[in-house]
Amino acid sequence: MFRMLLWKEWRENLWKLWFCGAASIAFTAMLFRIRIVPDISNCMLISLVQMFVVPVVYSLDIFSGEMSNRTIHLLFKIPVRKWMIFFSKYIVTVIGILVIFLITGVLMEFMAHGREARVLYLFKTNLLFGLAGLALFTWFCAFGCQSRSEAGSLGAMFSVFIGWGIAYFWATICEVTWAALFVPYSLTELGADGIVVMIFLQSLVSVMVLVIAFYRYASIRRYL
Amino acid sequence: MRVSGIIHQQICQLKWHLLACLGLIMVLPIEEAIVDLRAGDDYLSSAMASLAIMFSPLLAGLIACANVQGDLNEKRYIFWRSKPANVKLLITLKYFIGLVASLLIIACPVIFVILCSIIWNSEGFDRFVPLPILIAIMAYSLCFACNVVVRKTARAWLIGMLIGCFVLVLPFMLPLNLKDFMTDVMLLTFGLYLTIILVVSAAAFLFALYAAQHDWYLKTNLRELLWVGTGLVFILLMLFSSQVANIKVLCEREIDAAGTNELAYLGNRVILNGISYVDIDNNKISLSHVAPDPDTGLVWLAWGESAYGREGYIAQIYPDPRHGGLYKKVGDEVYSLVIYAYCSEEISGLYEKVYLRSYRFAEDPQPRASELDISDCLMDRINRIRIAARLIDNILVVCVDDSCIVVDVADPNELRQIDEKINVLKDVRWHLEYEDRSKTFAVPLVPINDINIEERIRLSIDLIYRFYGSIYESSIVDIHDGKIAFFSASQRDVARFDVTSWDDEKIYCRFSAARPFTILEGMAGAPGRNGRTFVKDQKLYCYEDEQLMVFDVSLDRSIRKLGHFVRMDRNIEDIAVLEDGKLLLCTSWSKRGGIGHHRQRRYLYLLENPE
Amino acid sequence: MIEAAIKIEGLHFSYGKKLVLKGVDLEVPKGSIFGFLGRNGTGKTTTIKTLLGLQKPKAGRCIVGGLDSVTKTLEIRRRIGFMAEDQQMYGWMKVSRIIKWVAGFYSDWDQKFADELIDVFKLPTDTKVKELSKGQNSSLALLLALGHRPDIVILDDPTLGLDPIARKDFLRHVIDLLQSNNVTVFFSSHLLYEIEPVADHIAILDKGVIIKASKTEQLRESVRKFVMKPALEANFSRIPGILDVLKVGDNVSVTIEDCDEAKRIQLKSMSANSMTETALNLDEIFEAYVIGNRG
Repeated sequence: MFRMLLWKEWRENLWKLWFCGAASIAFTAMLFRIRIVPDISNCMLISLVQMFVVPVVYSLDIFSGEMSNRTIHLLFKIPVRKWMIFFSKYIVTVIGILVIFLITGVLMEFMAHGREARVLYLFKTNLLFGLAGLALFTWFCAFGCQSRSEAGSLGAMFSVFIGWGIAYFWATICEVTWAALFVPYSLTELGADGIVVMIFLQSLVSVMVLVIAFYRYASIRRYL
Repeated sequence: MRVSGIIHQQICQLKWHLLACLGLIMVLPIEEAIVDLRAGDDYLSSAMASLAIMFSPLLAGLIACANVQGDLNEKRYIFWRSKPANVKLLITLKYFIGLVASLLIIACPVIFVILCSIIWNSEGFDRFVPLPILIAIMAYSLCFACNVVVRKTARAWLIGMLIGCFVLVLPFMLPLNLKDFMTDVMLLTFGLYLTIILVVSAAAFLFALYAAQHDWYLKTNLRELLWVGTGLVFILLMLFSSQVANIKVLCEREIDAAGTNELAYLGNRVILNGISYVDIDNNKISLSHVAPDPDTGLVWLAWGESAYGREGYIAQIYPDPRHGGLYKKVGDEVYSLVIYAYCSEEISGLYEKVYLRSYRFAEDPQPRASELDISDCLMDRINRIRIAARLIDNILVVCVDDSCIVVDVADPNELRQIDEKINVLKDVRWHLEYEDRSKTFAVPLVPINDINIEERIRLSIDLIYRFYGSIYESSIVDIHDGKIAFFSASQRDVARFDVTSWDDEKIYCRFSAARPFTILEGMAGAPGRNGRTFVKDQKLYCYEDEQLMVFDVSLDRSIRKLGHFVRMDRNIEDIAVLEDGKLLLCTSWSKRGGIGHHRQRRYLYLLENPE
Repeated sequence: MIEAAIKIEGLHFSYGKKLVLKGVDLEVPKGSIFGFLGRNGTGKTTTIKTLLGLQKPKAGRCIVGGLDSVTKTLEIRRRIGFMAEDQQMYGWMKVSRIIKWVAGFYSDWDQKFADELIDVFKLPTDTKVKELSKGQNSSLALLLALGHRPDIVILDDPTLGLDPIARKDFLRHVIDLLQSNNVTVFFSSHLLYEIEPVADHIAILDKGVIIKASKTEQLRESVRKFVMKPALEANFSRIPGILDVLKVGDNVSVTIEDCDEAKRIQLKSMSANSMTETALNLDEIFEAYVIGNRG
């Protein structure tokens, strides 16, 4: 049953994988070919844009699409538990985001072959941004799983951006250390001390946020 | 229609959206203020407020969409359209009410910062604020028009923003099938951007009026929108790369080298640092040692005398053989010509002797071929001595401070002084000012009769405006078809000056054209006065730090950009134009390879010369 | 006593502060076709959602097929078939695909039966769902609701948006397929003339409570309309069971429920002249219950 839901979500969101993948590959290939800035700068730029754009594209209608197309009635009618519905969407998005970042990372290494002394540095940097993108999507789920339209999803995503901005401001300028746990962007400073601990702690935060998101999703009744 | 009723309804409809946007735009400035005050500082910084204003176009777009959706969304428009409403009046009122509301919201952080700066007597904005506000007006208009047609908030907002970005970026990018947008089309000024913003805003408003009147509805599909939008961005990037990365790299090779590198011409070959020949075969760079012993080369062979001169003296050498050199080939023998100036160790700046020496490149324990004492050119000055030299066929003109010595180097084993002009370059202004562009000005013509007049003019201009540069190997003067022009680069532009006439003592010049640098070109730092400029074969080469620009100067009163090469992590140290027209670049690259370890790597690039 | 397929006891539900259901009590006999009537906004869909366990009631309980709707919602959804009003399905899937997909969620899906239904409804299997007509869409939704051979089928305004011919076809299918197989059908609609020929039982929901629940035939028998010229001191409100008193010129039309001989005599006494008695259709009965002037 879960497999059926996974299949349906995968099939429904496949165009997003194609779109983000094609766009990432095209822009990576172009920027690495013209090489105006150093490879690591290209990597950071592409990874940063991907970190925001890919989750936004996935989030636009992954939950709100069911509401606006009114297919949520069908979804809630079939005898499946709500956690299956929620996690099928979440897992498909996670796989999609990871695949895109993996492909882009490999392409970066291929195009910068021989120029970067540190082994798999570009790939690892890109992957860290991918993890940050996953965290962004997880936070979005908590805010936007009940949105009824694309506008609502965008609004929820912007709220997360602003929340991250505020937390980042606290963490960096006000030096409130615990605020850094809520800003996965700090993961992207590869080579920083304690990065493994930071990844672990932020993963814990993401798991808590995911649980909250699931409970919010499971409590959708009002809009049916 | 009751206008006041409509205005009231529109404001009520928008109130929550306006409050939300107000909250969004003020959250960062207020937070910053609170943090500063709690830390005991006054509210000195306006960074967050500037950041909030930077995002004001996004919020203006949101307000526009909310404004239109209130009455024109898919389901509600039937209700509204079935009423006897004056469409144009309604749309006009909606537009201006929303616009005024947006501007009021955007003004809030500005007023906040102004008030704070008055209260705490601190500086206000550190950025240029009006521009984002103007862009916000355009964003509002575009999103308004899109929403009238698309009738879905998120999509209309995305489309409006995309069109706005496209309109802003396109003037940078349009090649219009012409090589140089700047020279061939127009000059980019703030006035142009103001025009674009206002015209686009007005056009969007009129379009919205027309679309509402005729009930236009564009069915959109999210997928198609994303593909189209991304395609547009990709096209923009292609245009961008065609403007700033349009010189083809044929070959890139890492080389072993240390110190600042230079390329020098030796006949039709290029020498790197006086140690290696640089050969091109099938667009591949190969290096071969000049001397049989790989540890030696022209550099070391020429380094006959100790660089630090005789006991009690410090030597200044021109040109430094480690970096380049004046080379002369006679039959199969290659000679290097070097000028040594000796300064007393005891009295700083007092130069006592200047020698011109020639060195033969051979396995010779005594490589010095000849020496000529040209100390007569020294004046009583306590200053760092300026030396320049140029080899024109068999004549070597050496300039020391304000004096010129002409030497016959037909036989490098026997250097012979043939002329001497003392103090001919005194009272000269060594750089061009913007005031020079408005009048004809005169440049002293060096009184050396042993070279033809064109070379005299070239030498005079190079000596005055390029004295500190490598005039032994390049020039800023272009001479062709009997016309003479020279070029000067600054932070703002590249200027062309034509030589209009000359007499026995002076050359008369007049400004003829300037080619300003665009913002895009300046992103890596436009070549300023410190940048290096030279002309060869009716092409002007400007390079500094990470970028190189090639201009076509063959036409009168014209400077047309042909190509642009940028590498933000490379420092271009020297350029050579090969016989077949290709360009050879020598660059360095600094990188921290580990804790405290600073590595330098050097590269040679072979580039295709743009046409 | 016939066992109840669906039982609702003291159901209360509110949206925020607004109380929509104020104590609904209902029993749907097994094997019956049950018409659930009410005006727009009275809470029909809310009741149905509570039956499915999609919403938790403020008070009361719902038993569907012997299972509590709050705690056994998954089992209920496995056992019943449900068709929502204007049900939208995944437009990008083909008909065959969506049937296969939904079948995967039911362990007792009868594909042979589903194939028969495809023939009966004349559904084009290779067409995408978004390309189907409204009638075909409804047929597909019904197929998906019936494919696992449920013993209870809940239809929430299933003919919404269909033209008259499509509606007749749909109802015919419902009767043909379900009535003969002893399936309980809980049918919510406000098109009373459609329900009347098919429903065995009727319940009328108004202002958050069930104001009448009865067998259809019994209801038609017990609710009568009397037209008369009223006597001068006639006071119809003294007669219990008055549903509607309507002045028509000099005459008065009185609709009364649970009409028996005693009430006839009482009415006769208030009449100035002769009195005519007529039976009412469901439409008129519903109108009398819901908006009748009680005198």
